[in-house]
Amino acid sequence: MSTIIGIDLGTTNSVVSIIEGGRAVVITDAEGQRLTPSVVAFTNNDEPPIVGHSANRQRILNPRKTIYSVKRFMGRRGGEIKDEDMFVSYPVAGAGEEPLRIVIDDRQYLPEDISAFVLKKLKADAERYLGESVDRAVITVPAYFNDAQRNATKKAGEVAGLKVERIINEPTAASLAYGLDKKLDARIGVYDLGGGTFDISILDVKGGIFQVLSTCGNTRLGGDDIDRRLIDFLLKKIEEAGGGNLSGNLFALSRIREEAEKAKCSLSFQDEAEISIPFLAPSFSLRYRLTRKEFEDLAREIIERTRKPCLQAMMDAKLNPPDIDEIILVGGSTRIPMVRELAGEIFGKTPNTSINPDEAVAIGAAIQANILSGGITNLLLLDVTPLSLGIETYGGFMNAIIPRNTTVPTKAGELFTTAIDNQQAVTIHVLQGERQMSKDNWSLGTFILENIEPAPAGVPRIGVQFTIDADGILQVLARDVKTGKEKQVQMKSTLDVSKDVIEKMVKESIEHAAEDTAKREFFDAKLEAEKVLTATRRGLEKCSHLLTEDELKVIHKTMDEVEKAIDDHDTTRLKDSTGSLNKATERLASLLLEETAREIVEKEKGSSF
Amino acid sequence: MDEIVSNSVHTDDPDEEMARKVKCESCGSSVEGFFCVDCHTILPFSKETDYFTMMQVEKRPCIDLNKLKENYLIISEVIHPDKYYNASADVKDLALACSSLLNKAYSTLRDPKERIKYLISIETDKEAPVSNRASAGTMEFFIEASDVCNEADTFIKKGGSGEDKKRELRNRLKEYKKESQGKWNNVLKDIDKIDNEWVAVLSKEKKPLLRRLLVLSHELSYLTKLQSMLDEMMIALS
Repeated sequence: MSTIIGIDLGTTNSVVSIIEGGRAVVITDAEGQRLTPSVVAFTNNDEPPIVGHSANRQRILNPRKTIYSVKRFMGRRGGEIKDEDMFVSYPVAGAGEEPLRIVIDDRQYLPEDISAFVLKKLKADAERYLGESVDRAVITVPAYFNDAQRNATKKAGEVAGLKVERIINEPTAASLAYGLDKKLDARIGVYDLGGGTFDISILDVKGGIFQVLSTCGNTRLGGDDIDRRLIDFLLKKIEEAGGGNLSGNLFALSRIREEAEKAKCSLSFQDEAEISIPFLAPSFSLRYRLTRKEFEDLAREIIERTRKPCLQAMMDAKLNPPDIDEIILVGGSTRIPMVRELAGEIFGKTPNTSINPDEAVAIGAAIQANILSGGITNLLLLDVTPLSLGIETYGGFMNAIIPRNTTVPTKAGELFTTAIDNQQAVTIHVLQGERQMSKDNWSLGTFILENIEPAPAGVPRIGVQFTIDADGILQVLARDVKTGKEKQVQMKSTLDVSKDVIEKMVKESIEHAAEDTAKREFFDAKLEAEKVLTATRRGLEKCSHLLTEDELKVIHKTMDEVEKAIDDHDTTRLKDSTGSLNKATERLASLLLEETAREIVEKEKGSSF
Repeated sequence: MDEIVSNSVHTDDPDEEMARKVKCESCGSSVEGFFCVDCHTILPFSKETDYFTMMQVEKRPCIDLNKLKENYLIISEVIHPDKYYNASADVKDLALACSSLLNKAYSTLRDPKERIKYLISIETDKEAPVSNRASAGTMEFFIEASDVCNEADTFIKKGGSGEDKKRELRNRLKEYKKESQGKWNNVLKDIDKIDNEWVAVLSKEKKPLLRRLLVLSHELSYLTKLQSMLDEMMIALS
């Protein structure tokens, strides 16, 4: 049997892991990187898109065709997304009931199609590592993902040529990774703040059994939101400094976004971050010293939004902070000191930061994969359904049949009756969510039970039974108790895409499976080289007069070498020469920075008139 | 997995003891419960198996919750579908069915209100009536506390500004929560008393005890509902 791989398909980064000889291994890509940015960049219409680091690197140059943070759009309808959430550098289509689509030239992609490209790359990396083909995976999702979002994730796997053996919740996966080599007997909370989602799960761990007591979260809350606040802040500063309103300038926005993210990361271990973006506008460069205090003022409101789900999860588990032994932090955003402080304050204890916040989820997925294939036998996960499931009853109310935080698998039923005399059919509208009115909850679909024996209202007894298996798939059975007439339906909320389309995509993905890694490697190197070349040319334009003749000679010679290596398609030489060029232009880079700073100062003087 | 068998409840009723003994369909050994130790096969729960028997705890109003949890984990380890992921479809279906039932049994017995309602339903052979009123005192308390919840709800819907008002509401909600917990504990004490009498009477004479339990289950229903309303409002105001 082939290995089942564990995948953390993240908003910002994705990770693939396997269990080898009882130990977790995070698989690196061809460049030796453990994290793969969940970024997909389209170049030409005919070429397959590039994925990961290389895609991320060209994000600034190609903002309209570089897709990032697509997880936010998974399984969502146009009407569900607020305008501020649409704030991405690529075009997104879909309004009202339509599924969201990403528009690339004349083609439209569903979010799961984009995610499939990321999964394909991870699959290829795992295949290279294992030396065999991989066609099965356990993929993680935020615990608070609804049915449609889970199905979209599953579909992404299918499109990538992976049979998704199980969808598991990210915080639960992280808890498995945390407990893998410990004999835990404790109640733990997993606080998971990633790039785009927040989850809190409370578990009881004993004798290798990980029992989830409760889970709560927000599927639209994460590091991305903090970046956005920071970007808005910088845009304001830029306008104040005379750089104009750049909020409509995609190229500038992408650069600000990159620097904002960098500054955010460095403020996790420094008190100040220097943000320097040369030539944002033809005659404007940004230089700003951001203090941690300023950053925290911007981020506070976002981070504070994690409090309510934490309180809710504790109440649902009927526990108070002292009942919880440990708080484990997961997700890149938990590196932010303010996040750690808040988690500590809510739970009344110093959070445990001993696990790698970027890798724990993927490792947990690999552990669950290994449990399913019969490898690890001393661990067992008992997870819950995060959101209540029920049906719509008369008056448009939601009647929960399986309340949230019910351990799966589970089966539950209730008896209903008719609302009017001689009613012969009932429509069963299946819902997911916590709101009182059915219209405010997620609709999983409807079906009709017909041929009910005519009787006065309130007399017929209609039994509705819900069954959720360990995969979280819901079956609904409705039965007229008197006649025994029944109807069973497997509910699966997917946003309308025909099966043919999926099949076609699967076929295409198999055709592309034999993608040449050497070609990809060259492409990556070429991108990097072109980036350095462009920067060098720009630097020479401005500051060549400040360099010595010898320096200029070396730079020009190295540039020629790089260009020649590109023409010759020689990856090794290209990488070497790009490295040399980087080195040769070190002084040029610092001169350029000084020059830019000088310009800013002059500009500021000028603008005071 | 021997624990499961040895953990079985020993009752004085030989018929009941026998009812739980079934023949393993695949190897023919006589087994108790739902797992054949001899050939490691899951057996379906019989329709007659009640949750108490299934969880191997005594069938009475108060049970040993630690033992309940322990048994739940032990049985889960044996019958969870993950353990049969590569098994035949039949065995997988069986694991799914047993595991669902086990989860249901555990969640029912763990919660005093659900446990008592369930006990009444199996002892009287009918569902406990759902929409009954609680005692006058509890009803009055319920209405009073709901008013505060409504006030808090209106406050939030109007924008929820004003730290003082917020704090004041939160404190009042907290007080009600505390009081409702006190009431809850008193009901549990009453259940405890019934539990003491439970073992002393013969099964024919349990009717008056069941009637008393029914009244208490209504109290718990109202208090459960109230506590979740109070929780919700306190979170919304946090």
